[in-house]
Amino acid sequence: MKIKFTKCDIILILIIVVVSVLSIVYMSFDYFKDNKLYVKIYKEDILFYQHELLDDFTETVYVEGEVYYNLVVIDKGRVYVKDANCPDKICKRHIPISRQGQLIVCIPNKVIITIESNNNNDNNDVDAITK
Amino acid sequence: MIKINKTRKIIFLSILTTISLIISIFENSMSLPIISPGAKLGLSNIIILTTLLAFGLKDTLIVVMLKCIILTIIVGNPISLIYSVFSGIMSTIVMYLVNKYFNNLFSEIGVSVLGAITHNISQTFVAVIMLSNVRIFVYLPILSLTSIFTGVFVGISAIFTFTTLSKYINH
Repeated sequence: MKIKFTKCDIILILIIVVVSVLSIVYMSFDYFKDNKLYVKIYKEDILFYQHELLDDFTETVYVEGEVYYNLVVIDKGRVYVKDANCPDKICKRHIPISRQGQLIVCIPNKVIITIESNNNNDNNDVDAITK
Repeated sequence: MIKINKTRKIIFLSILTTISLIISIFENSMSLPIISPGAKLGLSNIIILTTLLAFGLKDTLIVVMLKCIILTIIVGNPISLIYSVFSGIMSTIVMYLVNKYFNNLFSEIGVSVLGAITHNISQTFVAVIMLSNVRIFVYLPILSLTSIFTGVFVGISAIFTFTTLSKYINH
């Protein structure tokens, strides 16, 4: 058997490259907006922790699950997982996130750490309160 | 497809399962710098693709299932079983269909790239369902870009492995 790229192989590869690059460009538009950023930690789709991401704000959040834990460090605008006891340690090896739309996922512990620009407290379930 | 008797086939399938297991364990213990989580070389797919080319769909599914189950027992990460079994079966079926019905259009490299991309898409899909959070789809473009490189590499390696294997079996 010979190693040979057929025409369809190259078309396939080009389509994948174009679609991926276009979606990366589309998603990175938000990076350059000067929004207020919020760190949000979701545990099994429930908002566990939320705080504005400031340059002089440092905090350590301990996210405990049934079996595993994650130690999330918010350090002067950067967020990373300092320690975890999940089996694959993918969250621990992830590079620190600092911009909108980036996220760290810990699949064994079902934890998602993300940076978003909207505050969940602004549009909460209660529309108005009358007295 | 290679035609051999049943006993030899069982022996070859078990050897292929073992090789893919060893490659997976080696890959698991390697610490790559992570841009995107779960981005791996997928070197064991060389063996899966070779099995598909040599023995067909049914035997490949057996190898994939065995590899996933034994790897889970060895590594000790039970949650990864759902991810690896689902994406492994999906990518095997896609590779089989493309290799059978679009054989004149795609070479083994194209088949491998399609398998790699199916693997990534189905794994992301499982993660979205398991964590019930749509944000994880953000990773898909980067994973697709990496799957081109790994797919081409795996495809070329599988061609070499399959050529050697068929030569070895026929003698």
